[in-house]
Amino acid sequence: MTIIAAGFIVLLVSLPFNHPPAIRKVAAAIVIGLGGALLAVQVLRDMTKEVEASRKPPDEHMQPEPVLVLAGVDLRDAALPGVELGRSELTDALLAGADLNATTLQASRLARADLRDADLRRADLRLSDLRGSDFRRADLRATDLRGALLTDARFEGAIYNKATNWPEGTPPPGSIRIEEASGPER
Amino acid sequence: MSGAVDLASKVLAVLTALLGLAGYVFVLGATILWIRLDEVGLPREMPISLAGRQELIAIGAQAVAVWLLLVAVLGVLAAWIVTGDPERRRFGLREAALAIAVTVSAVLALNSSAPEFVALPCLVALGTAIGSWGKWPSSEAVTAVVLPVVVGLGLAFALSSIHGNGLAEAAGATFIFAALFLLAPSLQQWRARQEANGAAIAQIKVRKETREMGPKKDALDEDPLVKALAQGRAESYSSTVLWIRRIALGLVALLILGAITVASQVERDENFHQALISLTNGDCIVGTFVVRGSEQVVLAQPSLAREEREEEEGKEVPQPRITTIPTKEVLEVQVYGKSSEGTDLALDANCANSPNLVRPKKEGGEASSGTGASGG
Repeated sequence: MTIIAAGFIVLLVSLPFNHPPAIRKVAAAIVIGLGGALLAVQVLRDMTKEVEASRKPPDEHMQPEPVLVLAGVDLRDAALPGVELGRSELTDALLAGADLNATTLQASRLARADLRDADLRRADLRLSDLRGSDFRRADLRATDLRGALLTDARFEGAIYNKATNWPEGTPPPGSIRIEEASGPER
Repeated sequence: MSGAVDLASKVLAVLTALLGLAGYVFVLGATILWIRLDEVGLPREMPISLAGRQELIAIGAQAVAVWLLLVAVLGVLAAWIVTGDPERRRFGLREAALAIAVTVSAVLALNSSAPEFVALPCLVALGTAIGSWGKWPSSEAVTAVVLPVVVGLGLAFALSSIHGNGLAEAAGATFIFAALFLLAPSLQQWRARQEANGAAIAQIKVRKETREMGPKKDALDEDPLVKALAQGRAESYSSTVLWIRRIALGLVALLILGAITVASQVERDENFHQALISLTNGDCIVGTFVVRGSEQVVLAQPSLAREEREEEEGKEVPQPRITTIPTKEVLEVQVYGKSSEGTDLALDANCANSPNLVRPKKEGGEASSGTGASGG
């Protein structure tokens, strides 16, 4: 994209607007064409990864088969406090800003879900698949994450307290511990 | 009765849209003619006020047709992308940028002094096609990558055949491509989410209908999950606001399309043609054809570039001028050739030998025809 922008700059910089010198057009065409070539290489690399991923055997899930399939749904800013969503399939779901206070998500699949700024206080996320999920700036105070898979999940700016239970006892990098005088009780 | 009213309102809507479209093209034609007259130093208001409605619509339609075709083709392609499953018909920002880069590179190369450099974007397109065919994740995935690149390349060649203002065409094509192709990935994701929400609501409904809930049953609409899913599907604005937004978006799109169309006409070659008009009194006039109205033909003597030359040579500089000839005095109008600078307004001294096809009637005799007859 930088190379394409450079091509446009070559064409337009110090230009009497409707009369670019002939050489500038050719130069811009070449620069943008080379940018396209690099993009083509990246696109083909992505295609290779996709083909390789499709040939891998499916992961063995710890979670049982889901009872409710909500993969890819848009639940941004949804109000779902205390809802029972155990054993649900929420892979790739959009849950940014959602109120999931005390929600039950035990043994659910939330791989690559967007949970930025979500309220997950006292939520039950035990044994859930949270690989690749985005928990940035989420509220994880008193959340139960024991047994959950957190590989490649992001926690920058997420807050937790002493009542939060992490899978291996150690909080992930980027998360922020809040010391409260009296935190929410479980 | 309500069916007839419904049908009548739809017909009225279509007629209104067509009238609006004709008006839009009319305004475009007048704007283009204004710019052309301004470029050659001619008065602008009089020819435009005298020009026939059909002629202005023809000027506007000729200019906007290719851009409308471009938008239509790209719109169909974008619709195909948006309606696909994002997992199978993968079209992200990288794929969009690749299509845009190939198209813009081709447009610029074809409009430059070295059009052979179009080989570079053609090679990129060919390499993408061959590489995708070699990987072959699926037919949809390959088509989603290759088709926009090939369509973009084809449209670049089509645009280069217009012989317009190269820079305006490149900018216009870039803008339209970018607008459609950069929006397509996010629209595709949005549509997929809407379908996922709908499928989830249907699933919950089926579960609730088949489960025994006991003495207390929650209404489906009261289920917080269903409410949240429905909110994720539904528009959050009232229908009036939605319609206002759609109309505003449409007006902005028409405005931008009009600006691109007009810009592509600036400094075009072949703006005005030469004309030879033979009159009922036997005289012939040559000049630059401007427009034809219902009651008069407008000829001109544009001379901007010629003025500059004659000023340098110290000769007398005739003013650019326009003349109108009532159509009732006109026997024949011949418009021909291409003229970027125009030709002088003058009586054709060799009217008798001019290539008129129609001759004035001889007094007391029949009208003669052919180039060999003597004029009167």
